[in-house]
Amino acid sequence: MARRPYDMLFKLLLIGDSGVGKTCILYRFSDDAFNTTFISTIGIDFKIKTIELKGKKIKLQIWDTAGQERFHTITTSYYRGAMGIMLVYDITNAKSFDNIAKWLRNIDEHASEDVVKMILGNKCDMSDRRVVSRERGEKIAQDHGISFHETSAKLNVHVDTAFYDLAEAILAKMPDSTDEQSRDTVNPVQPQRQSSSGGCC
Amino acid sequence: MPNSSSTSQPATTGSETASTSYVNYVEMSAEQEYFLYELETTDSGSMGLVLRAIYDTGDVQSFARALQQRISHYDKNIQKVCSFHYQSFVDAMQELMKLKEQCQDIKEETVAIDAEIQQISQRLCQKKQEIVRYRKLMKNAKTAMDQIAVCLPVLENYAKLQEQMSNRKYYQALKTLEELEHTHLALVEKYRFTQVLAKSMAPVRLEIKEKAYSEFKDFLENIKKVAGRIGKHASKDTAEQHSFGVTDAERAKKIQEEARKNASNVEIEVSADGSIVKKNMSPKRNMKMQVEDDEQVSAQDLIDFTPVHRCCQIFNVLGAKEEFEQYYRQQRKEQCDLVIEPTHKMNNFKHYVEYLDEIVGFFVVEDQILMTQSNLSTTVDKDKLWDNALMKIRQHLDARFGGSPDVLMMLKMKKVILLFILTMKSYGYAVAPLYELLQNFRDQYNEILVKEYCAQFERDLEKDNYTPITVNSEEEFRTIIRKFPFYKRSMEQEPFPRRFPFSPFVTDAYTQAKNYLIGCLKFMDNLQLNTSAVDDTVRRCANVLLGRWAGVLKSFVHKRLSMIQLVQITINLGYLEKSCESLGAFITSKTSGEEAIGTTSHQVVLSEKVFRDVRSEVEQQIDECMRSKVDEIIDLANYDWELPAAAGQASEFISDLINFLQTTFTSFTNLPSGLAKHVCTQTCKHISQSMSDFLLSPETKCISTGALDQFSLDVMQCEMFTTRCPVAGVDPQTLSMTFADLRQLLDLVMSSDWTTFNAEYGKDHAKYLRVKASTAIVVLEKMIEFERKSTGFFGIAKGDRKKLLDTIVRQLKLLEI
Repeated sequence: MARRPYDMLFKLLLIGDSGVGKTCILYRFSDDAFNTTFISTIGIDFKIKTIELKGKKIKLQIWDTAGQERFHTITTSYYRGAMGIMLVYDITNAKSFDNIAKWLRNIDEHASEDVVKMILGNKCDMSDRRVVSRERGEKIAQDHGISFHETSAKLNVHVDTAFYDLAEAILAKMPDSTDEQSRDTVNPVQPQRQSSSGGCC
Repeated sequence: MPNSSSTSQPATTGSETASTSYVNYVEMSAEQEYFLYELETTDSGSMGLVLRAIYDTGDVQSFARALQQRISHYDKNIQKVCSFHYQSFVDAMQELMKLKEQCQDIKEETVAIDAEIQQISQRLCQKKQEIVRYRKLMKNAKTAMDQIAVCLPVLENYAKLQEQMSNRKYYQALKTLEELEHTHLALVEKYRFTQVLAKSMAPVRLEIKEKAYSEFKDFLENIKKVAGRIGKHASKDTAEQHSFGVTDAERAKKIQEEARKNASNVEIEVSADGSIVKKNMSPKRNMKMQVEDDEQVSAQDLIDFTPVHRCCQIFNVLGAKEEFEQYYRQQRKEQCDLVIEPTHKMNNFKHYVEYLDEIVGFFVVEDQILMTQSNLSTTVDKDKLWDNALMKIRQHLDARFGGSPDVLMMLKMKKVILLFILTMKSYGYAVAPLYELLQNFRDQYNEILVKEYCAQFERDLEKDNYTPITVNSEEEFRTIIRKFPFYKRSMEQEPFPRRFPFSPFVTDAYTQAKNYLIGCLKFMDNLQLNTSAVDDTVRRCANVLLGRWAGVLKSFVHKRLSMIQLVQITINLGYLEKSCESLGAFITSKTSGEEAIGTTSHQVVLSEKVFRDVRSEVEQQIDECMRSKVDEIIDLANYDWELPAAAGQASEFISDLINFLQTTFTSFTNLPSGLAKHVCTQTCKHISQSMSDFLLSPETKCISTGALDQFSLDVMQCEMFTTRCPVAGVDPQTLSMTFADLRQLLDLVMSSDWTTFNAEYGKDHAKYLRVKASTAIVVLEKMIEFERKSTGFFGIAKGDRKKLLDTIVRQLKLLEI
């Protein structure tokens, strides 16, 4: 029989300006760790974490992109394979919020049409230095019909919530896979092939 | 002579007699005459000799007759004289009778005068008696006055003694007592009051002794109170005289002045000796000179040494000099023991300063007393006292600083101890053990320093951003250049922003290294080390630090570091290695300035090679990190080993893997070329091995043809990566070899080229040279297993294929043998 350590593989992508906290969000979620020192990401990095959602073991492969301008061309190749994309801005950095529009256009240009999107306003613990209100964040998300969360990687605020919400949204878009899974006992050969095919999707 | 003459005569006479009788008579007469003459003229003492001579002649009868004749002759002469003077005799008698009468008259007259005088002299006698009585009275009075005059000094001196005792002038009192006893009392000791005085003076001597001891104890107590201040003054003087912020020229001047002071001390010593010889005025003169000298030596201002000198004099006079000397040494020893024993917990810096000041003060006083009263103590005694104290001082300092973790405290204590050493040395005390103590402290200090800088190094590693330093202005650029010796001529022409290759960690570490070396130097100041010794020591310290840092780094990279961190570390290490040369120059400039030119060839070389091991370690960790990332993606592999047909494109995980490698090797432009090639090669080898493990794994029981096709597509994707590798300088041919084994195996099995394989097996130029028979067997057996399962579903149609594969397996097993 084929190796089946997980039921589904979801590929997620983190994008946003340099320094908004993409890597910190990822580390908080995957390792529950936080590093105060800012180390700029080079090229691409990833973490893999298995979660359980609605009785299924789902492996999340989360790609962390470098926000610096010089890496933008290189990292666009990861948009196409992504099933969910998180756009991250820094509530203490107005420019990073303004650039969300640019990142949204990149998604439209390079990602698949049915990709699930989410906007994250990070560093919500730094109230005294906030320059982007929560209302503004919510509004732009609402305008584009996508979900919104304010997070703090430092204090571990809403980080897990964001990832689980995104995973659920992705899962919700795969009813065929769910239906096919339910017919597993009827035809052992067919479900395997279908499952593999689903992975390709 | 007379006897001899007598003897000769008889012999001659004998001879004549025999001739004739007439001649014989003449001869006898002459001889007899001589004998008679001798008898008449000699004294009675010679009578015996004459008589003997007479008897020796043998003619005694002749001599008797001659003698008789002489007697008769003399009688006749006497009768003639008497007859002649008879008439004068009668006249004389008549005169006498007359005279008798006259004398009687005179007698009577004299008696009358006497009676008259007696009567007249009666008053005179009375007066005479009165005079005698008065004269006796005067004599007694004079005697009394004389005796009293002799007694007065006794009383005066006794009163003086009492006064001096009440005024606590014991030495003067003692001198007075001595004078009383040996001079004045000796003259009047017969009187009772004198005896009473003598008894009452007996305890005075004892009292003087007790008072002297008491005064000396007070003196010791006073010394104890001001010893700390004396020590403080002495330390200040030493600080001024030595290199505590003073130039060499000024130091030489101070030394000369000190020599002059020592000379004047010698004079005082002579004077002190003189004061013993001249007991009258010398003490005062000595005190005066003492005071003058004390004004020059400020440390002595606080103490009046008079009591010591006075006690010496007192005990010398008392004849108890030895006793006092012993007492003095005993007391000073006990006092010394008290001084060198810390009185409280000594839990802060100030307490140690006070402690050492007390010790300095004690020994300065001891030295002063030795110089001015050399008979009271000796150099041997002083040195013995110091040696004992030195051992204990060292123990105390060791006990309290042996484990001290406070670098600043140790630097302070080093200065304090060093000042203590220099001060004691200037007074002639041996200080070598304290220098040893300081050098032990130096080693300990350096160890603490190393630990601190290792901790800082680790903190710098933790907080570094692992990003090359970027500067946006000339000012920022210069700031970095000043911190770290990086010279790249072309860089100064580049437009802003400019990027240095290293991260802030490098500049921080370099700065810390310099601070560490400065810290080491701080402790070595004034430790009596010459320039080259200091230089060597600092260089060894530097090597210790570098070695420790390498250890810290080695531990650090074994944490879960990211690729970014590891790559930047390996770059940083290159620059740290290069900076060792600059550190060496820094050490030289700090230890010997410009003088170092001639000694460069003898310097300890800073060991930059300590970082080579770490560098290898980091590179290994980079391999490990990359391998770990590859494994994470490969773990996503989800092969369906019973796949009927290939998907027509590589598996998704392989696409992701190749894309990741492409992105990473493209993005890490700062990765050194050699290292990049190495990592790329190792990664490809690892992927190839992992893929082989998939195929050959016991967990995989059966493999379909379709699955093999898909697997082959995946390997092909990897091979494409090797031919289009983004790492500069990689030889595609060489890199492709990493998948050659796998490719040959797949080609062999998928094309069923067993005839060729069997025919060429073991030959050097075989087409499938890289394939082992055992490996092929494993794959074939899995295919057979798949066929067996398929047969169960579809009946006989597959039977022939299974039989064929079985045949091939049997043939291959023969090859194995």
